[in-house]
Amino acid sequence: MEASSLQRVIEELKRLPGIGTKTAQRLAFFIMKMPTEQALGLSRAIEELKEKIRFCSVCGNLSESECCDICSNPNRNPRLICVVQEAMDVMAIEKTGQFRGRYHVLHGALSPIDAIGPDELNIKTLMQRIQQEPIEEIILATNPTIEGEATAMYLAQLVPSRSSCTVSRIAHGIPVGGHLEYADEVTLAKAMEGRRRL
Amino acid sequence: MKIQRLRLQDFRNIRACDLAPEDGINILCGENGQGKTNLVEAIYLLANLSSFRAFSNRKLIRHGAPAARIHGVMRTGATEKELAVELMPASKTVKVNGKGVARGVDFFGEAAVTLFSPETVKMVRGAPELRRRFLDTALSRVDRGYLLDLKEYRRILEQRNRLLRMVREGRVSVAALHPWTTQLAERGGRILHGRCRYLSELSAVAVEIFQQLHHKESSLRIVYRAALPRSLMAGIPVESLDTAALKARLVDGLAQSERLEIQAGATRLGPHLDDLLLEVADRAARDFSSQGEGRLLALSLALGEARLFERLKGDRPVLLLDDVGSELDRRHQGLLCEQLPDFGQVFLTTSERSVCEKIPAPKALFDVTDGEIALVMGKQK
Repeated sequence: MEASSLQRVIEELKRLPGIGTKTAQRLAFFIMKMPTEQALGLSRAIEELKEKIRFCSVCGNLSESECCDICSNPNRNPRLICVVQEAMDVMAIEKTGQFRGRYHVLHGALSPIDAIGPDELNIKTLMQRIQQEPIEEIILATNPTIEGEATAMYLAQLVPSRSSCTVSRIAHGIPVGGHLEYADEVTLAKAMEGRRRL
Repeated sequence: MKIQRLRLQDFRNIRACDLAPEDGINILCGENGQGKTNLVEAIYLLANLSSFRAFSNRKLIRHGAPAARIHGVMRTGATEKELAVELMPASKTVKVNGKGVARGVDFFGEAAVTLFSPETVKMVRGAPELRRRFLDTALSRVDRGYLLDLKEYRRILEQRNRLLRMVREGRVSVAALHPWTTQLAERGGRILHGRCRYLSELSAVAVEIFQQLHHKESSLRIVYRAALPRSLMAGIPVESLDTAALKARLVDGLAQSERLEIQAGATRLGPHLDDLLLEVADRAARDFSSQGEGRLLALSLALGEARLFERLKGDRPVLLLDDVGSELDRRHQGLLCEQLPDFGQVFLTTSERSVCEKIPAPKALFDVTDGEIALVMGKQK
């Protein structure tokens, strides 16, 4: 069986994270059997995504214009900034509906072995924002991994101590609705460390 | 923990075997190169997910076979569980009671096994890394938090070393080191504290066993040698400090050596450079003239690990003694055999059948010839 256009789709799909040869084959066959309209809809959606989406010039979040919906929303609290690694993290926090401040997306975390230093992250614009915007608190919400933690510590020392801006770190611990017995030792130890008075 | 049943398929030179080991002492007897150590290796692998003498799966799979399988039914008290490991050339799958386990860390600790092999003896005279590895493995078995700290420490160390080289090349500022130094010292403090605490307990047990095996009063001392600058310790023994104090000393030490570290492009102090000092009768064991004493010392540490595991976890580990006979003379073989019933299930390999007579019952004897394992004496399946 030699169908080079099918083979090409399979190869392209294999580039996606979590997709191996078998899954790529299944998906490619599925797309081949799809009604033409649907399949073209998918390809157009991808085209549009690449054409329209870019990064917000203020916070680095995904946006269809120069400035993203959150940064341009006058109802968001300009005194509060939540720093996250990826745009996906913004989506996750937005789903909670609890946070009314603004964001700053770093597009990664410090990782010397992957050659990712401060210059590779969206840090310069964050420093400009601290100087120019009326920010009172920066919440560091990078991942609780070694690299995320290092990034948070690095950012904390960058914020000038004379500024009126405080720096905080999101809490780590037991997931809500979770059972203590299922939490691993490190998480439990962190949760113990971060205990608070009732 | 006891192994109730052990099945192997295409593991090294063993095409297939199905054993029901004795709860007490199991003797694997055969000429060299017949597959005794392979069986011990399979049991070790079931507990540690890695071999103690091979780095690639390919070597563990019987020539011409697609995969090797190890399947064990383990019993602790009244609870039984099935562990299965399947090794393919480039991957392995691990199952507990038929269910897949995604992360190796989650499997580690499912089976309790202590090993003594001719490799263990190298720890006495060999590089510090061998002694650290012994300590880290033993400690990881009783403390999963330690294992996780150790894994994170290694990752931070790798990141920090790379960063030190980037600073040296002028690609990043010195300030970028700080977050990695802090994290390294935090895990490092916990690792140091864990090691010192474990070592004080281990040395008490090992000293006792050493004296029983040696059959004479000889002082064994095990000292933790931390690679911290003397100026910071001011004569205080490292084992008397708590986690926070150890972390603070690591932070200070790393700050002191920062310039040298940037030059070297490597972290120059911390638990990854520490050592154990083994002393018998006030002489460093590294310089022993007697090979025999070194062997007894290594054996005492391995048996001590098993004892301490039982004390800390309330379960007797399976004890693997590979080729212990050739490592000891006849008198010490006899003394060891007297001790063995105090341990739980034991697997002992030997090329001399006479060893079998020295060992008190209950026991089973298996003959190992060319990868075939046959029950000679003991219970049937």
